[in-house]
This record gives sequence, structure tokens and C-alpha cells, in this order.
Amino acid sequence: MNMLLTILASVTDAATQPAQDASALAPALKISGVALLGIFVVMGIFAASIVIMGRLFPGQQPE
Amino acid sequence: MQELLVGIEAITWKQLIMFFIGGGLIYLAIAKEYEPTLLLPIGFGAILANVPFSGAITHGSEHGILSTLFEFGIATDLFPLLIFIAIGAMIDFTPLLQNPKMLLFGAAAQFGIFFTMCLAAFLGFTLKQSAAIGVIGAADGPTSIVVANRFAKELLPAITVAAYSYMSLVPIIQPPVIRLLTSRKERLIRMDNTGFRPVSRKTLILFPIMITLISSIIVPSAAALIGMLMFGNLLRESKVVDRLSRGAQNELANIVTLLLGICIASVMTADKFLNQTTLMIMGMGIIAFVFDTAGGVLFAKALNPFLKHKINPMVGACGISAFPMSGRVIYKMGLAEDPHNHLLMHAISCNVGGQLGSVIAGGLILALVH
Repeated sequence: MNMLLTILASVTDAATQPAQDASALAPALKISGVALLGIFVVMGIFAASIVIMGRLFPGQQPE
Repeated sequence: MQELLVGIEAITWKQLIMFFIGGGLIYLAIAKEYEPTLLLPIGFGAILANVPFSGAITHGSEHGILSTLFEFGIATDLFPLLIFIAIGAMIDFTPLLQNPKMLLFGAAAQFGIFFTMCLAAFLGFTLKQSAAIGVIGAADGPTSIVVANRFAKELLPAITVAAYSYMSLVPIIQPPVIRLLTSRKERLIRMDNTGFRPVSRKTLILFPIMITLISSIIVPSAAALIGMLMFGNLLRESKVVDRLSRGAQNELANIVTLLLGICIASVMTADKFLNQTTLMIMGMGIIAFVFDTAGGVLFAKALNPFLKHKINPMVGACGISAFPMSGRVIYKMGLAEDPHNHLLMHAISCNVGGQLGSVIAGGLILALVH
């Protein structure tokens, strides 16, 4: 998890650095790429957690 | 006598147009039933706010009720966050817990947000304004309000009206985009309806706590949004505070929705609303919804060659938030193509994933844009 956070943080820093420039397009493109990747990572972690919870606490089939 | 004519003499043509726009929103709410709980108060509020010298909005030191409500409920993010408690209490996440891979569509169908953000930046908006405009594509009113309030207060009325109007137009916007991107053969793909495993009560209770922890640790700026949503869901799933859960679903949702709509209208004054920027935002809003839909559909098409059990690409479009409208639209489209193709469970699980995806997208934008 620490490694993931470090990678995300470094990519985030790199992405937001040029936001000070006059044109907003370049930072918008970079932020979009990072954010879209970030959503997939977070949703993937959610999905993995749900699968683990399902294994740990299996539901009962209705009789 | 002269005092009675002051208001009439002060009416401008822009204010008359705003009366017309307010009337139009009321018409859409009543006659077409498009998001009536929000468009009706917004429409009425728009008329009230544009009356010359309206006592409903603040002028100098004279406070107006609509402006006061705005400062109290919107400027502080209070109303949208309270709405999230209500939404959380209303949503049953069971279909998603039975089918967690659908969460990925909740990510893919946020593509419209980022496409629109880049488009807005290309058209000359600042980075923060572009981000706020892009979040219309979250198809999630409260998230749009929170991001716009933080990044582009001046665009808040236009963004809010666009977000809620297009959410109500999902049944009109999505089907043509889906038909354009899929063949009839793809739309006829049947999905397995027998693989849904039962979900235990422990999982249902742990889910909101786990989602809050994971998302708040990775994206702290999303903590308030996701935390309120999941708090509402915990009230529902705990089954020990039914009174609070029902209160969140009914009384809280009704009161906050009522106040939210009418106080957003306090900033819909002619001088701030009637300009080229509003038109551009309305245009970009629809682009965001179209590209969200396309993102979900194309993601399903891209995955299919690698899957044993194919996914009907129409289901991918439900990754757009707009819950539960998008799920119903796709279910009906599936039945229209094949009366025996029941996609409802898949569509709803994808749609619930979209609700989470839109909040995470909003949180990531808040974190990344400075």
C-alpha cells in the first residue's frame, strides 16, 4: 500500500506541477490521465476487497 | 404612485429572459417530470431572484432569504453533503457486492469528465473552471456542486442546472450513443443471471466502513463525499437504526432537496447567468454525458475478446452515475432488442459502481487540481 501511495503521490506531483503555466490544456491532459488511472486503481482495490469479504463472510443460500 | 412603478420601470430584457428560463424549468418539471424535485424549486427560485430589487436576495447590507440559504448551505458544502447521507441510505449495494467486477465500468464511464475537462481547457477556461465543468460528467449533482463551489463559484448556477437537466435527460441522451457504438449482435449478448452469489449481513455492514477507509486514505479530499454517502448506507444496512435510516431517506432528503434547489437559484441572476459562458457550459455538459456513455460501452467492447462470458456492451453505459435511471434505460433497451434478455441485475450493479466512481472522480479532481 505504501508503495502504491508513493507512486501515486509522485505521479500526482509531476502532473500538477505545470498547472502554474498560462495554458490550462497541458495540465488538464496530465491530470486527466492520472485521475482516470487513479479511479481504476481505487475501483480495483474496492473490487478486490469485496471479493475478500465475500470469501471471509460467505452468504447463505436462501432456502 | 411612483414607488409602485419603480419595479416595473427597472425590469430589463435580461430579467424577462430569466423569467422565461425559470418558467421553462418549471414546465419541464411539471409537464415532462424531468427531475421535478430540483428543477421545480430552481425554476421558481430563478424567477424570484430576478425580480427587480428582489428582497429574496441580498443587496448590500439588506439580507435576502435565498442568499442567506446559499451562504449557509452551498458555500459551506453542507446541503450537497447532507444529500449524500440520504442517497447512501437509499442505495442497496447488494447487486454490486454480488458482481464486483462491474466496479471497473464505474471507472471507465467517468471518461466524459476528463474529456470535457480537456475540452474546456482547450476553449480557454482556467484549469479550475475546466475541472468544475468536467465534473458535470459525473452525472452526480452533489459532487458537481461541491467541486464547482470549491473551484469556480461563478459557474456554479450554470453547472448545477446543466448537471441536473442532463441527468433527467439520460433516457434521451444514452440510447442513440449506444446504438451508434454497438452492432445489433452485440446488443443481443445475453449475460449469465445465475452467477449472483448471496451476500452476508457482515459483508453488507463492513462494505461502507471499508469503502470509507480505503478511499479516504488514498484520496483524503474525497473523505467528506464518500464518508457521508457510506454513513447513510451504514444506517440502512445496520438494521438497528431504522428510524434514522428512514429519516435520512425521507425527511432529510426532502428538506435538503427543497432548500438546495431554491437557494442555487439565488445566484441565477440575469447579470451572472445570461452570457456566452453559460451556453458553452450547457454544450459541454451534454458532451460529458455522451463521452461517459461511450467510455463505458467501448470499455466493455475492449474487454469482451478476453472474457469467457461476454458482457453486453450496453451495460457498460450504466457506469455513468445517474442512479437508477441509467440502469433502467439499459434494461429497457435490452428488452426492446430481445424480450428474453434480462440485464437488470447487471445494469444496476454497474450503475451503483458508477455512483462510487463519480464520487472518487470528484475527490481525485479536488486532490489533483491546484
